[in-house]
Amino acid sequence: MSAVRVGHDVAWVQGASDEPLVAVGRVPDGVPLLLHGSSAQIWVLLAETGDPGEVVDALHEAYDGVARDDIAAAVADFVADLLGRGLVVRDA
Amino acid sequence: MAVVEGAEEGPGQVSGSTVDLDLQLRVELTHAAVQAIADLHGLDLLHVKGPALDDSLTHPGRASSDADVLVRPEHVAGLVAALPAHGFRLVTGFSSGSAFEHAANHHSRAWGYVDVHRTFPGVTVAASTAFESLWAVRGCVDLAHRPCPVPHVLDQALLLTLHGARGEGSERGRLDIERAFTSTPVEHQESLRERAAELGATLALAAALDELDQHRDDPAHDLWLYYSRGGTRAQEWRARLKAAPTLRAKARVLGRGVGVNREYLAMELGHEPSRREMAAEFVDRYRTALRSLRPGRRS
Repeated sequence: MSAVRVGHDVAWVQGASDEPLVAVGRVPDGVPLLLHGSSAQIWVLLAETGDPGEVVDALHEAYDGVARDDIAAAVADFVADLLGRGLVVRDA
Repeated sequence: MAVVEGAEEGPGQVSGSTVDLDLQLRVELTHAAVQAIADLHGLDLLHVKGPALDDSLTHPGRASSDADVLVRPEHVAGLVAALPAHGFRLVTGFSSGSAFEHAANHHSRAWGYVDVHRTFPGVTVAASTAFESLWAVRGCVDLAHRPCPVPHVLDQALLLTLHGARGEGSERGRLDIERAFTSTPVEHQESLRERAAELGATLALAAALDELDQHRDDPAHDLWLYYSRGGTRAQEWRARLKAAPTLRAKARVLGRGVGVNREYLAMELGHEPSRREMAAEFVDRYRTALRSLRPGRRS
Protein backbone atom coordinates (compact mmCIF):
# COMPACT_ATOMS: atom_id res chain seq x y z
CA MET A 1 0.00 0.00 0.00
CA SER A 2 1.38 3.38 -0.94
CA ALA A 3 1.85 6.21 1.52
CA VAL A 4 -1.01 8.62 2.12
CA ARG A 5 -1.48 11.87 3.98
CA VAL A 6 -4.42 13.72 5.40
CA GLY A 7 -6.00 16.01 2.79
CA HIS A 8 -5.15 19.70 3.14
CA ASP A 9 -8.83 20.58 3.53
CA VAL A 10 -9.52 18.01 6.20
CA ALA A 11 -10.29 18.92 9.79
CA TRP A 12 -10.39 16.30 12.49
CA VAL A 13 -10.58 15.96 16.22
CA GLN A 14 -10.00 13.07 18.54
CA GLY A 15 -12.57 12.50 21.26
CA ALA A 16 -11.61 12.18 24.90
CA SER A 17 -13.27 8.93 25.84
CA ASP A 18 -12.34 5.34 26.62
CA GLU A 19 -13.30 4.22 23.13
CA PRO A 20 -11.20 5.61 20.28
CA LEU A 21 -13.28 8.31 18.62
CA VAL A 22 -12.49 10.65 15.76
CA ALA A 23 -14.66 13.21 14.00
CA VAL A 24 -13.34 14.11 10.58
CA GLY A 25 -14.57 16.11 7.62
CA ARG A 26 -13.53 18.20 4.66
CA VAL A 27 -13.95 21.87 5.38
CA PRO A 28 -15.90 23.87 4.67
CA ASP A 29 -18.22 21.98 2.33
CA GLY A 30 -17.99 18.38 3.49
CA VAL A 31 -19.96 16.54 6.14
CA PRO A 32 -18.33 15.49 9.39
CA LEU A 33 -18.05 11.76 9.86
CA LEU A 34 -17.58 9.86 13.07
CA LEU A 35 -15.02 7.09 13.29
CA HIS A 36 -14.98 4.88 16.32
CA GLY A 37 -13.14 1.84 17.52
CA SER A 38 -10.60 0.43 15.13
CA SER A 39 -11.49 2.93 12.38
CA ALA A 40 -10.53 5.75 14.71
CA GLN A 41 -7.34 3.94 15.61
CA ILE A 42 -6.37 3.52 11.97
CA TRP A 43 -7.08 7.18 11.28
CA VAL A 44 -4.93 8.42 14.13
CA LEU A 45 -2.07 6.13 13.15
CA LEU A 46 -2.37 7.06 9.47
CA ALA A 47 -2.38 10.75 10.33
CA GLU A 48 0.84 10.27 12.22
CA THR A 49 2.77 7.99 9.91
CA GLY A 50 1.08 8.09 6.53
CA ASP A 51 2.31 4.55 5.94
CA PRO A 52 -0.46 1.94 5.86
CA GLY A 53 2.16 -0.79 6.24
CA GLU A 54 3.33 0.67 9.54
CA VAL A 55 -0.28 0.98 10.63
CA VAL A 56 -0.83 -2.71 9.90
CA ASP A 57 2.28 -3.61 11.89
CA ALA A 58 1.18 -1.51 14.84
CA LEU A 59 -2.31 -3.01 14.84
CA HIS A 60 -1.00 -6.53 14.44
CA GLU A 61 1.08 -5.98 17.53
CA ALA A 62 -1.87 -4.53 19.42
CA TYR A 63 -4.47 -7.10 18.35
CA ASP A 64 -2.89 -10.26 19.56
CA GLY A 65 -4.38 -13.28 17.80
CA VAL A 66 -5.64 -11.54 14.67
CA ALA A 67 -3.88 -12.61 11.48
CA ARG A 68 -1.76 -9.91 9.91
CA ASP A 69 -3.27 -10.58 6.47
CA ASP A 70 -6.73 -9.96 7.86
CA ILE A 71 -5.62 -6.68 9.38
CA ALA A 72 -3.87 -5.67 6.17
CA ALA A 73 -6.99 -6.37 4.11
CA ALA A 74 -9.18 -4.36 6.46
CA VAL A 75 -6.73 -1.46 6.50
CA ALA A 76 -6.50 -1.51 2.72
CA ASP A 77 -10.28 -1.40 2.38
CA PHE A 78 -10.51 1.42 4.87
CA VAL A 79 -7.77 3.45 3.20
CA ALA A 80 -9.51 2.98 -0.17
CA ASP A 81 -12.70 4.32 1.40
CA LEU A 82 -10.86 7.32 2.82
CA LEU A 83 -9.21 7.98 -0.56
CA GLY A 84 -12.58 7.85 -2.24
CA ARG A 85 -13.95 10.44 0.17
CA GLY A 86 -10.92 12.67 -0.27
CA LEU A 87 -10.09 12.48 3.42
CA VAL A 88 -6.63 11.19 2.60
CA VAL A 89 -4.63 11.58 -0.58
CA ARG A 90 -1.72 9.62 -1.95
CA ASP A 91 1.56 11.08 -0.81
CA ALA A 92 3.71 11.85 -3.84
CA MET B 1 -14.01 -3.45 12.36
CA ALA B 2 -16.04 -0.29 12.66
CA VAL B 3 -16.80 1.56 9.45
CA VAL B 4 -17.04 5.18 8.50
CA GLU B 5 -20.52 6.47 9.23
CA GLY B 6 -22.56 9.23 7.75
CA ALA B 7 -23.39 10.15 4.21
CA GLU B 8 -23.27 13.17 1.98
CA GLU B 9 -25.90 14.82 -0.16
CA GLY B 10 -23.95 17.88 -1.09
CA PRO B 11 -22.06 20.78 0.43
CA GLY B 12 -23.32 21.48 3.91
CA GLN B 13 -26.17 19.00 3.67
CA VAL B 14 -26.66 15.90 5.72
CA SER B 15 -28.64 12.82 4.89
CA GLY B 16 -31.29 11.28 7.09
CA SER B 17 -28.60 9.27 8.81
CA THR B 18 -27.11 12.34 10.50
CA VAL B 19 -24.29 11.38 12.81
CA ASP B 20 -24.67 12.70 16.32
CA LEU B 21 -21.41 14.34 17.25
CA ASP B 22 -20.22 15.18 20.72
CA LEU B 23 -20.81 18.90 21.09
CA GLN B 24 -17.26 19.81 22.02
CA LEU B 25 -15.91 17.90 19.03
CA ARG B 26 -18.39 19.63 16.79
CA VAL B 27 -17.49 23.10 18.09
CA GLU B 28 -13.83 22.54 17.35
CA LEU B 29 -14.75 21.37 13.87
CA THR B 30 -16.93 24.45 13.47
CA HIS B 31 -13.93 26.64 14.15
CA ALA B 32 -12.01 24.80 11.45
CA ALA B 33 -14.87 25.08 8.98
CA VAL B 34 -15.23 28.81 9.54
CA GLN B 35 -11.48 29.30 9.20
CA ALA B 36 -11.59 27.41 5.93
CA ILE B 37 -14.27 29.81 4.71
CA ALA B 38 -12.20 32.77 5.86
CA ASP B 39 -9.14 31.39 4.05
CA LEU B 40 -11.15 30.81 0.86
CA HIS B 41 -12.42 34.36 0.84
CA GLY B 42 -9.39 36.19 2.23
CA LEU B 43 -11.07 37.27 5.46
CA ASP B 44 -9.36 38.08 8.75
CA LEU B 45 -10.85 36.72 11.93
CA LEU B 46 -9.74 35.70 15.39
CA HIS B 47 -11.07 32.62 17.12
CA VAL B 48 -12.11 33.43 20.67
CA LYS B 49 -13.35 31.54 23.73
CA GLY B 50 -14.20 27.84 23.76
CA PRO B 51 -11.59 25.51 22.31
CA ALA B 52 -9.62 28.54 21.09
CA LEU B 53 -8.81 29.46 24.68
CA ASP B 54 -5.30 28.94 25.96
CA ASP B 55 -5.13 26.03 28.40
CA SER B 56 -4.17 28.44 31.18
CA LEU B 57 -7.56 30.12 30.91
CA THR B 58 -9.93 27.22 30.74
CA HIS B 59 -11.27 25.22 33.67
CA PRO B 60 -12.82 21.78 34.07
CA GLY B 61 -16.34 21.63 32.77
CA ARG B 62 -16.05 24.83 30.79
CA ALA B 63 -17.92 23.98 27.62
CA SER B 64 -19.03 25.92 24.58
CA SER B 65 -22.14 25.40 22.53
CA ASP B 66 -20.90 27.32 19.53
CA ALA B 67 -17.77 28.65 17.89
CA ASP B 68 -17.02 32.33 18.45
CA VAL B 69 -15.05 34.38 15.98
CA LEU B 70 -14.21 38.09 16.07
CA VAL B 71 -14.04 39.39 12.52
CA ARG B 72 -12.16 42.35 11.10
CA PRO B 73 -14.97 44.92 10.78
CA GLU B 74 -14.21 45.52 7.12
CA HIS B 75 -14.60 41.79 6.49
CA VAL B 76 -17.82 41.16 8.39
CA ALA B 77 -20.04 41.73 5.39
CA GLY B 78 -17.87 39.43 3.32
CA LEU B 79 -18.11 36.62 5.84
CA VAL B 80 -21.84 37.03 6.31
CA ALA B 81 -22.29 36.95 2.54
CA ALA B 82 -20.10 33.87 2.18
CA LEU B 83 -21.62 31.72 4.93
CA PRO B 84 -24.86 30.70 3.15
CA ALA B 85 -22.92 29.32 0.20
CA HIS B 86 -21.22 26.97 2.63
CA GLY B 87 -24.35 25.71 4.30
CA PHE B 88 -24.76 28.23 7.11
CA ARG B 89 -28.07 30.00 7.67
CA LEU B 90 -28.70 33.05 9.80
CA VAL B 91 -30.35 32.33 13.14
CA THR B 92 -30.22 35.73 14.85
CA GLY B 93 -28.94 38.94 13.31
CA PHE B 94 -26.69 41.55 14.85
CA SER B 95 -29.54 43.76 15.94
CA SER B 96 -31.57 40.89 17.36
CA GLY B 97 -29.12 39.66 19.95
CA SER B 98 -27.63 41.53 22.86
CA ALA B 99 -27.93 45.20 23.70
CA PHE B 100 -24.48 45.62 22.21
CA GLU B 101 -25.66 44.28 18.83
CA HIS B 102 -22.26 42.69 18.63
CA ALA B 103 -22.84 39.24 17.21
CA ALA B 104 -24.89 37.31 14.69
CA ASN B 105 -25.50 33.61 15.07
CA HIS B 106 -25.39 31.25 12.11
CA HIS B 107 -26.04 27.53 11.92
CA SER B 108 -24.88 24.76 9.65
CA ARG B 109 -26.46 21.32 9.80
CA ALA B 110 -23.03 19.91 9.14
CA TRP B 111 -20.90 22.05 11.44
CA GLY B 112 -23.18 23.55 14.09
CA TYR B 113 -23.37 27.11 15.38
CA VAL B 114 -20.99 30.01 14.89
CA ASP B 115 -21.24 33.39 16.57
CA VAL B 116 -19.85 36.04 14.25
CA HIS B 117 -18.68 38.97 16.36
CA ARG B 118 -18.21 42.36 14.77
CA THR B 119 -17.30 43.97 18.10
CA PHE B 120 -16.61 42.72 21.60
CA PRO B 121 -18.85 44.04 24.38
CA GLY B 122 -16.90 46.25 26.71
CA VAL B 123 -14.34 47.36 24.14
CA THR B 124 -15.24 50.94 23.30
CA VAL B 125 -12.47 52.12 20.99
CA ALA B 126 -13.43 51.99 17.31
CA ALA B 127 -13.99 48.41 16.18
CA SER B 128 -11.37 48.65 13.44
CA THR B 129 -8.81 50.04 15.86
CA ALA B 130 -9.58 47.34 18.40
CA PHE B 131 -9.34 44.53 15.88
CA GLU B 132 -6.09 45.77 14.40
CA SER B 133 -4.63 46.04 17.88
CA LEU B 134 -5.61 42.45 18.67
CA TRP B 135 -4.54 41.21 15.25
CA ALA B 136 -1.09 42.77 15.50
CA VAL B 137 -0.10 40.54 18.41
CA ARG B 138 -2.15 37.46 17.54
CA GLY B 139 -1.10 33.90 17.96
CA CYS B 140 -2.09 30.75 16.08
CA VAL B 141 -3.39 27.42 17.31
CA ASP B 142 -4.51 24.28 15.56
CA LEU B 143 -8.22 23.69 15.92
CA ALA B 144 -9.23 20.35 14.46
CA HIS B 145 -5.78 20.38 12.88
CA ARG B 146 -6.44 23.63 11.07
CA PRO B 147 -4.26 26.68 11.87
CA CYS B 148 -6.52 29.33 13.36
CA PRO B 149 -5.55 32.86 14.43
CA VAL B 150 -6.26 33.61 18.08
CA PRO B 151 -5.68 36.66 20.25
CA HIS B 152 -2.49 36.91 22.28
CA VAL B 153 -2.85 35.09 25.59
CA LEU B 154 -3.03 38.40 27.46
CA ASP B 155 -5.83 39.56 25.17
CA GLN B 156 -7.58 36.22 25.59
CA ALA B 157 -7.50 36.80 29.34
CA LEU B 158 -8.92 40.28 28.94
CA LEU B 159 -11.69 39.19 26.58
CA LEU B 160 -12.60 36.32 28.86
CA THR B 161 -12.77 38.68 31.81
CA LEU B 162 -14.98 41.09 29.88
CA HIS B 163 -17.18 38.19 28.86
CA GLY B 164 -17.43 37.13 32.48
CA ALA B 165 -18.51 40.66 33.36
CA ARG B 166 -21.76 39.96 31.51
CA GLY B 167 -22.40 36.77 33.39
CA GLU B 168 -25.11 38.27 35.60
CA GLY B 169 -23.43 36.75 38.59
CA SER B 170 -23.26 33.24 37.13
CA GLU B 171 -20.84 30.68 38.48
CA ARG B 172 -19.27 30.26 35.07
CA GLY B 173 -18.69 34.00 34.75
CA ARG B 174 -17.17 34.10 38.20
CA LEU B 175 -14.84 31.22 37.38
CA ASP B 176 -13.79 32.82 34.12
CA ILE B 177 -12.93 36.07 35.87
CA GLU B 178 -11.07 34.24 38.57
CA ARG B 179 -9.09 32.19 36.09
CA ALA B 180 -8.31 35.09 33.79
CA PHE B 181 -7.73 37.83 36.32
CA THR B 182 -8.17 37.54 40.05
CA SER B 183 -6.05 34.43 40.54
CA THR B 184 -3.18 35.78 38.42
CA PRO B 185 -0.08 37.62 39.68
CA VAL B 186 -0.35 41.33 40.40
CA GLU B 187 1.95 42.17 37.50
CA HIS B 188 -0.34 40.27 35.14
CA GLN B 189 -3.38 42.09 36.51
CA GLU B 190 -1.65 45.42 35.93
CA SER B 191 -0.93 44.41 32.36
CA LEU B 192 -4.58 43.53 31.89
CA ARG B 193 -5.68 46.88 33.28
CA GLU B 194 -3.34 48.68 30.90
CA ARG B 195 -4.59 46.64 27.98
CA ALA B 196 -8.19 47.34 28.97
CA ALA B 197 -7.42 51.06 29.00
CA GLU B 198 -5.90 50.80 25.51
CA LEU B 199 -9.07 49.16 24.22
CA GLY B 200 -11.48 51.45 26.08
CA ALA B 201 -12.62 48.58 28.27
CA THR B 202 -11.95 50.03 31.72
CA LEU B 203 -15.64 50.23 32.64
CA ALA B 204 -16.36 46.67 31.59
CA LEU B 205 -13.31 45.47 33.48
CA ALA B 206 -14.58 47.32 36.53
CA ALA B 207 -17.87 45.46 36.17
CA ALA B 208 -16.00 42.17 36.15
CA LEU B 209 -14.02 43.12 39.25
CA ASP B 210 -16.90 44.62 41.22
CA GLU B 211 -15.33 48.07 40.95
CA LEU B 212 -18.24 49.85 39.30
CA ASP B 213 -18.56 52.20 42.27
CA GLN B 214 -15.53 53.98 40.88
CA HIS B 215 -17.46 54.77 37.70
CA ARG B 216 -20.85 55.93 38.97
CA ASP B 217 -20.87 58.91 36.59
CA ASP B 218 -20.34 56.80 33.47
CA PRO B 219 -23.57 56.68 31.39
CA ALA B 220 -23.04 52.95 30.89
CA HIS B 221 -22.56 52.28 34.62
CA ASP B 222 -26.10 50.99 35.15
CA LEU B 223 -25.97 48.80 32.06
CA TRP B 224 -22.81 47.07 33.22
CA LEU B 225 -24.27 46.75 36.70
CA TYR B 226 -27.25 44.99 35.16
CA TYR B 227 -25.12 42.68 33.08
CA SER B 228 -22.78 41.83 35.92
CA ARG B 229 -25.43 41.23 38.58
CA GLY B 230 -28.67 40.71 36.69
CA GLY B 231 -31.93 42.54 37.31
CA THR B 232 -35.44 43.08 36.04
CA ARG B 233 -36.39 43.80 32.47
CA ALA B 234 -37.44 47.30 33.43
CA GLN B 235 -34.02 47.90 34.98
CA GLU B 236 -32.42 46.69 31.78
CA TRP B 237 -34.54 49.08 29.69
CA ARG B 238 -33.66 52.03 31.91
CA ALA B 239 -29.97 51.12 31.84
CA ARG B 240 -29.96 50.79 28.08
CA LEU B 241 -31.69 54.12 27.69
CA LYS B 242 -29.20 55.82 29.97
CA ALA B 243 -26.25 54.27 28.14
CA ALA B 244 -27.52 55.20 24.67
CA PRO B 245 -25.28 58.08 23.58
CA THR B 246 -27.64 59.86 21.16
CA LEU B 247 -31.34 60.52 20.81
CA ARG B 248 -31.50 58.22 17.82
CA ALA B 249 -29.84 55.48 19.83
CA LYS B 250 -32.34 56.01 22.63
CA ALA B 251 -35.19 55.76 20.13
CA ARG B 252 -33.83 52.46 18.91
CA VAL B 253 -33.62 51.16 22.46
CA LEU B 254 -37.23 52.14 23.04
CA GLY B 255 -38.29 50.44 19.83
CA ARG B 256 -36.48 47.24 20.71
CA GLY B 257 -37.77 47.30 24.25
CA VAL B 258 -41.34 47.22 23.06
CA GLY B 259 -40.90 45.00 20.03
CA VAL B 260 -40.78 41.24 19.86
CA ASN B 261 -37.70 39.43 18.63
CA ARG B 262 -39.12 37.38 15.78
CA GLU B 263 -36.04 35.18 15.50
CA TYR B 264 -35.98 34.23 19.18
CA LEU B 265 -39.71 33.57 19.14
CA ALA B 266 -39.29 31.37 16.08
CA MET B 267 -36.66 29.36 17.94
CA GLU B 268 -38.94 28.99 20.96
CA LEU B 269 -41.94 27.95 18.88
CA GLY B 270 -40.03 25.82 16.42
CA HIS B 271 -41.67 27.55 13.49
CA GLU B 272 -42.03 30.98 11.92
CA PRO B 273 -44.42 32.86 14.21
CA SER B 274 -47.80 33.96 12.91
CA ARG B 275 -49.18 37.47 13.38
CA ARG B 276 -51.34 36.22 16.22
CA GLU B 277 -48.35 34.62 17.93
CA MET B 278 -46.28 37.81 17.53
CA ALA B 279 -49.13 39.82 19.00
CA ALA B 280 -49.55 37.43 21.92
CA GLU B 281 -45.81 37.62 22.65
CA PHE B 282 -45.92 41.41 22.53
CA VAL B 283 -48.77 41.49 25.04
CA ASP B 284 -46.93 39.04 27.26
CA ARG B 285 -43.74 41.17 27.19
CA TYR B 286 -45.76 44.25 28.02
CA ARG B 287 -47.42 42.50 30.95
CA THR B 288 -44.07 41.15 32.16
CA ALA B 289 -42.50 44.59 32.04
CA LEU B 290 -45.51 46.07 33.78
CA ARG B 291 -45.19 43.55 36.58
CA SER B 292 -41.50 44.33 37.03
CA LEU B 293 -42.26 48.05 37.23
CA ARG B 294 -44.88 47.52 39.93
CA PRO B 295 -43.53 44.93 42.36
CA GLY B 296 -46.05 43.51 44.75
CA ARG B 297 -49.16 44.13 42.66
CA ARG B 298 -51.13 41.10 41.59
CA SER B 299 -51.15 40.49 37.86
